[in-house]
Amino acid sequence: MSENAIIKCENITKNFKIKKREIQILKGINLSVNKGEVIIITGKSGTGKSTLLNILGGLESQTSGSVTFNNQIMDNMSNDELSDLRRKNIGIIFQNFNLITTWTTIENVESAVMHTRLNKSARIKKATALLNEFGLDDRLDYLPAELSIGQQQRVAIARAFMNDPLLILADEPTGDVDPETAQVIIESLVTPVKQKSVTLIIATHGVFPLDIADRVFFIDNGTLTPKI
Amino acid sequence: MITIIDTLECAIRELRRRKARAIVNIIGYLLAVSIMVIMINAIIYSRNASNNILNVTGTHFIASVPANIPTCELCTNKTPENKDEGFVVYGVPTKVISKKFINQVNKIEYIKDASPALLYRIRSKTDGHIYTINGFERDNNVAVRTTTCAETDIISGRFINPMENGVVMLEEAYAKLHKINLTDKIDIAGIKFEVVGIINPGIRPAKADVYMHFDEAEQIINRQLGSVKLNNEANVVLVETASSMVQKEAMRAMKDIIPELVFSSYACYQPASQVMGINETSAWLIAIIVGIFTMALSLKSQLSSVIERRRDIGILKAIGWADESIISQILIESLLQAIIGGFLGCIISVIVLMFIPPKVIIGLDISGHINISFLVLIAGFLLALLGGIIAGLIPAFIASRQKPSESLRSL
Repeated sequence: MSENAIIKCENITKNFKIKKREIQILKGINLSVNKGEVIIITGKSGTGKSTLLNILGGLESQTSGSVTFNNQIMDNMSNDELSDLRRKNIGIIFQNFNLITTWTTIENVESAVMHTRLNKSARIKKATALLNEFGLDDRLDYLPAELSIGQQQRVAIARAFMNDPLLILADEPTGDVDPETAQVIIESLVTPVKQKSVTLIIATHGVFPLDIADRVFFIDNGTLTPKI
Repeated sequence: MITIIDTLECAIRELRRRKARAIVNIIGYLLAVSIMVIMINAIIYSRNASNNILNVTGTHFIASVPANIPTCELCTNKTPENKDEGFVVYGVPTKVISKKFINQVNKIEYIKDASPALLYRIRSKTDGHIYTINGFERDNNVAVRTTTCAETDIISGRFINPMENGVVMLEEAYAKLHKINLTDKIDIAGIKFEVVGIINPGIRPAKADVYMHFDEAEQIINRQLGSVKLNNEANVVLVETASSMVQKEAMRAMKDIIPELVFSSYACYQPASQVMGINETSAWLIAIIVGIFTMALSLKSQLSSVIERRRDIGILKAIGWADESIISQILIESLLQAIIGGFLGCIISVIVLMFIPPKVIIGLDISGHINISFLVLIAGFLLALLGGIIAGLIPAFIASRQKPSESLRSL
């Protein structure tokens, strides 16, 4: 593993059993991402992008192969160790925003560092500052349903930055939004990533400005190939 | 790392924002605790009240030894010269029993009181009719009142005074049949007695026509017996047991001393004690069913809540919440509902027990209110807490076992 690599996966395979049939979604994926790099993985729906991101984030285990995050092998980590790893180092942005519907904007963002050493006032201060950066300082007490799609995704992005992550995994961040909103979301995501030198891996099947990425990969039929 | 204050704050937030479910759960605990506390207090109160009633119901009987059985150590046959006369119980000739036996009976743990009595059939020297006299001890103890006659049986006149002599009371029907009135003087075996009371003792087992003091009855009987006198003996033992539940044991213990004894009682002690048992058992059963039902309901409700929040739990796990944080969050939510419901249930039950008359709750027409046991209140509250823990732990463990990717994928 390169000294500069934040995450590296070697020969990852993933099989799913669907109706007694074993289907191989990932077929020997090799990927090494350096600190501060922006990576885009593109491909059609159902090709294994989300599965790969889930494995990289420790949300799902691979069938075979190895994943190393910041020189820590994740393969045999317990659920609690993986939770700890995510809480301290990884921010995740989901396609459907995945905000908790009964929690306000600030509560959703703050939740990323709840049960850490940060006390409540420090958490609120940090969450408020982040939401201010994302132009949501006047929506702190709004419930997700009271926000626009773009605002909801910005809240999700703010939440991903809340724990000062080394790596952000974004699964279809502009999935089902209109081009204008997508542009706002992309700017909201990429600008702070560049400013803070955070590693970003984006999985997308839609139209996404590939030029923001340092490297682009294409995933098809379970194999990952660099897009030149 | 779990911070209790954060967890508590999150739990309160969840309950406030999922009001309908929280209220339903709280009402469940409230009903369970209040019903259980009210029922258990009512059971205790009803049992005490029933015991008080049963203390004078089905707790007494009389014992005698029939004349035809072989002579035993403590009993003998004493036959008068006149064959129409004799010691009888319900028309059956009996032996006389030494008063030593009564002293032994009084030492039996199941017996509250035993007293000697003389039930003697005698022929009137005036017109030749046959009647029975009952001689009971002057101290007029509990056994006499429950088996022979009591002050409450007086129809007219008064009860005979322990200190006076030469007085009797007549059974109402006997007095009417022979047209004897209060203050009349009657002749019994050549001795004159003044009638001071007319009584109706109902169906008491040692019922007679004429009631008098034991020593005066003994004097009359000795006159009739001729040469064979009573020697500190009686033919009937009046018995009051410690409670209706132990009457069988009391009889058995007496038979251990004189196996030939026969007993006469109301025969209502068994149904009385059984009815008491049935009521109490039913009430306990209902209380337990209510508790289990409510706990199952809370468990189901909490489980549904976790299933509904499957996505939220998946999100929290994805952003790094540990299993123990998820478990403590769900457990505290469940406990909070149990604490609120249990506390309100205790208050409601106290109000009900204080202000609703016992007649409405247990059907006994007793003044005042049902006593409230502090111990039962605490037990009710602790049961709610236990319900909260069980109803929280199971869904919490189910939630903690969810894989975040599966929770999020299944949306």
